[in-house]
Amino acid sequence: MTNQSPITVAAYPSHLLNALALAGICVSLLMAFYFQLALGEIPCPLCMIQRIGLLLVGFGFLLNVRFGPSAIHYAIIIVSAMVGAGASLRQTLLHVVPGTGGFGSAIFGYHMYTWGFIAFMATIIFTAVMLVVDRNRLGNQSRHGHTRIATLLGALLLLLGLGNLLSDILVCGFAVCSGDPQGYILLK
Amino acid sequence: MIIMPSILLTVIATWMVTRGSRTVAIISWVLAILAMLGAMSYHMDSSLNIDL
Repeated sequence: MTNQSPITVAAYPSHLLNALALAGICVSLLMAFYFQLALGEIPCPLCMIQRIGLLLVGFGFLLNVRFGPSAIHYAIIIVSAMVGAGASLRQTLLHVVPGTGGFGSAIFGYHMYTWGFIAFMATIIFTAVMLVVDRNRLGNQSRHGHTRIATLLGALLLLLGLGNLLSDILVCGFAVCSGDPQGYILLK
Repeated sequence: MIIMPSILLTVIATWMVTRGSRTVAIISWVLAILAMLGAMSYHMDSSLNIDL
């Protein structure tokens, strides 16, 4: 007979750590929207792909928060982070040659794609640590169930996903995205 | 149009998690990753200005 009753966040540090990581992903995506909406920096195709990478990493953390830690969930996080890091590294290499400039504003000296690569690498390291933290609990799904934090962060990640979907449609329309978009195609 | 399917599948995957459908969510994630790799192969095909 399995115990399906939800346990408190304080009693299970993995839940809190995964929730904090998910909150960090949401903050990164909110920052991207701040640069897009407040500063008028339209995301390029590679920027959009990196945002999807962040959304997919967040999806993995949300699985852990909602269903409990699992090796599959951590594998999802690592694969998503690797794919996202591929796009970040590609964009970094496009601008690594002196004189080629950068794309968008720099934050503390680094452009967003460089921060993206750092974030994806940090995610992989964090996941390795979490695999050690959760080594005796992997496979115990449904131990968390519905917690307020899971519901709140899930709703926030879903809203950010919908926001990115709307943004992509407005920027690219239903055609292939321009490499250096100058505005919202569907709003012209 | 090339990037949009991967975002749509990501949204569906996240929605399925919030609804409690873990298996459907993971299947949507697999499809989202495949769509994302397709978008990457299209948008990352130009040669870099560096010699590795």
